[in-house]
Amino acid sequence: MTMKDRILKKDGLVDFLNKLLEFLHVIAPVGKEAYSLYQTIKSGDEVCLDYVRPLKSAKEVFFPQNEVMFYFNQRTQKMIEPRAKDKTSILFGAPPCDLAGIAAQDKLFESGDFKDVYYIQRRRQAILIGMGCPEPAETCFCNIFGIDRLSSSVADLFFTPVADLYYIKVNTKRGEELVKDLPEAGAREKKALKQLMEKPVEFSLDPISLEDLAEALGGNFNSPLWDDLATRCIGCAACTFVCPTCHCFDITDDTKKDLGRRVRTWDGCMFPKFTLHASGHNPRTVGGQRMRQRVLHKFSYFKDNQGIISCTGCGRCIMVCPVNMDIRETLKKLSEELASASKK
Amino acid sequence: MKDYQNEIRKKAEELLKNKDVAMVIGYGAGSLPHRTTPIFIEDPQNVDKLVLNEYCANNLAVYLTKLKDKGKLAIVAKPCDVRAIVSLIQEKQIERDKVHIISFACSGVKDKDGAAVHPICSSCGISIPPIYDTLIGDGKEIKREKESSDPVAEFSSKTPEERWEIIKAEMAKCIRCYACRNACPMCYCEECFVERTLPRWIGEGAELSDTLIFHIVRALHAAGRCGECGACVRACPMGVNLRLLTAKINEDVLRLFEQRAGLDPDKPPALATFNIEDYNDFIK
Repeated sequence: MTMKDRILKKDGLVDFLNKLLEFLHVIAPVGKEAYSLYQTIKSGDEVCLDYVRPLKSAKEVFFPQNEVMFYFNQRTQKMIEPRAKDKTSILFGAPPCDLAGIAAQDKLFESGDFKDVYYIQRRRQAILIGMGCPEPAETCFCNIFGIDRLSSSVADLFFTPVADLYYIKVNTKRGEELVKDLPEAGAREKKALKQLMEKPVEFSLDPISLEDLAEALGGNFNSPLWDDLATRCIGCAACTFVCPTCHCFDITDDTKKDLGRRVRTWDGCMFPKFTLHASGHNPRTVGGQRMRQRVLHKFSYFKDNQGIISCTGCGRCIMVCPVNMDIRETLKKLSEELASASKK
Repeated sequence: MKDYQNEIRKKAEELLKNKDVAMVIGYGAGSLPHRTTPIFIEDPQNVDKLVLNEYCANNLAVYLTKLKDKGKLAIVAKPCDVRAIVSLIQEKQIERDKVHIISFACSGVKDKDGAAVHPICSSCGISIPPIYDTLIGDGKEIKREKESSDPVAEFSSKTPEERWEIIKAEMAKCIRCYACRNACPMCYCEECFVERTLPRWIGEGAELSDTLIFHIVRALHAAGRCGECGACVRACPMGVNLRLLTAKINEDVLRLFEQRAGLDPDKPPALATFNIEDYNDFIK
């Protein structure tokens, strides 16, 4: 049985969220000064949908920057306190690029030989409510990955703003439970949605062939491009920390006398010490190697290992880079190098 | 500042053609409307890529220490950037005759959104470079319109308890990406204390107490050396107002030692020297 689409008047959103808040924990974009961030809300009117996407991606909802894995007693070598279980929560307002990021994280943390209990526990109890993206920002390029800015099957419910209402696509039973009291979408709303989705939209980057790109990357391992790019890069981790798919972490023990806690924290491949071994050897000593790692991991290795490219075109890395490094230019340059190589 | 662009290109071409310098570090067109990006020119044929406009926000002096092995470097530098260069020379990180400074009188650069002159610039009182090798334009002082409210003075007027709360709220936004540190020309340590593991100085991740230690130690390390360019503030992806810390410390250094960093190459940095007249009221 297919689930019926619903509609919600835009001015009814706050009430809708307040109803959810009566029994669930809700995380949504909250405006703060010039930025919006995903945060736990206490009231529906805190939600801010003025920005194309929040400053940081939704990844931290399921994979937080700091996470206590467990506590222990150093002397007795015993685990003394398991970590608290998270309550069922709703992630509201994630745009399709962030939802695609979550889909990539799901592949990484949930499939394969290593299942990440911390991620899975948070992720599986959560209900995702996506939000259509009204107009791409100048840094957006989700189009090249085939991401539709107005729909996503990753979310349990997907809200698309159409005139004065939200058209709600119901993807799961869990999602349906939340909207079953809302009116069903009629022919008029369906037509309006269709018209909106067919309306052409300009993106900052013309589509490039992803197959060609994979090939370009394969042939560019020793390209001078990496060192060229790295000269400019100042080696911070702004790009990796705001990225919806970067997932590298470090694990450390914080101890105070006998008591300790094992903490997992985000790490970033652009940090020179990221790959420093205990022996003192560092396999990636120069910036070019690190730059290459970041690009190849997203566009080549992740695809080889998980079947998908781990970039969603959200453009946050472009927006935050202190020296205006632009991944779109890197991709264009790589494609050009391939084109000129094939001509020879 | 746009008028200076051609002159900068000409000078860059001359320096490269005569092999006076191995490389020119300057600004190139950015990929976004209100941005420029650092470029590194070795071939005189590429000097047309150099731009100069009100979006040349980066402090390019950060690259001098990294690229000094290339040989003599020319650098396009705003007066505040030149202050960092002066400090780097004083601290023997670069040699004076290994850098060719191309500077100009600066009217301030704009914010990332392109709307207005950045608050750092509007409150800046130093519009002409303290030293230079090539001066573009007439080098006449340019008066800036001061901010109507002075957030730093407001911060300074608060009690220590109130200031502590403000700093904590600001730092809670930090994600420890170290963009501030890496954008700062004065943060040239090959190994930052935050990365030391034997012993470990601070915890990983973005716990507030660790974040505060990072920022406070960094700000104190920059005391008397900070050229007030605001590279740290502009680099921050989270909009942390680091200026409250840096400006307060700069103000303290000025008040206690009557000196501002990077203005006089012949005068040692305030905190790198001892004078019997120095403020010592803290010794009871």
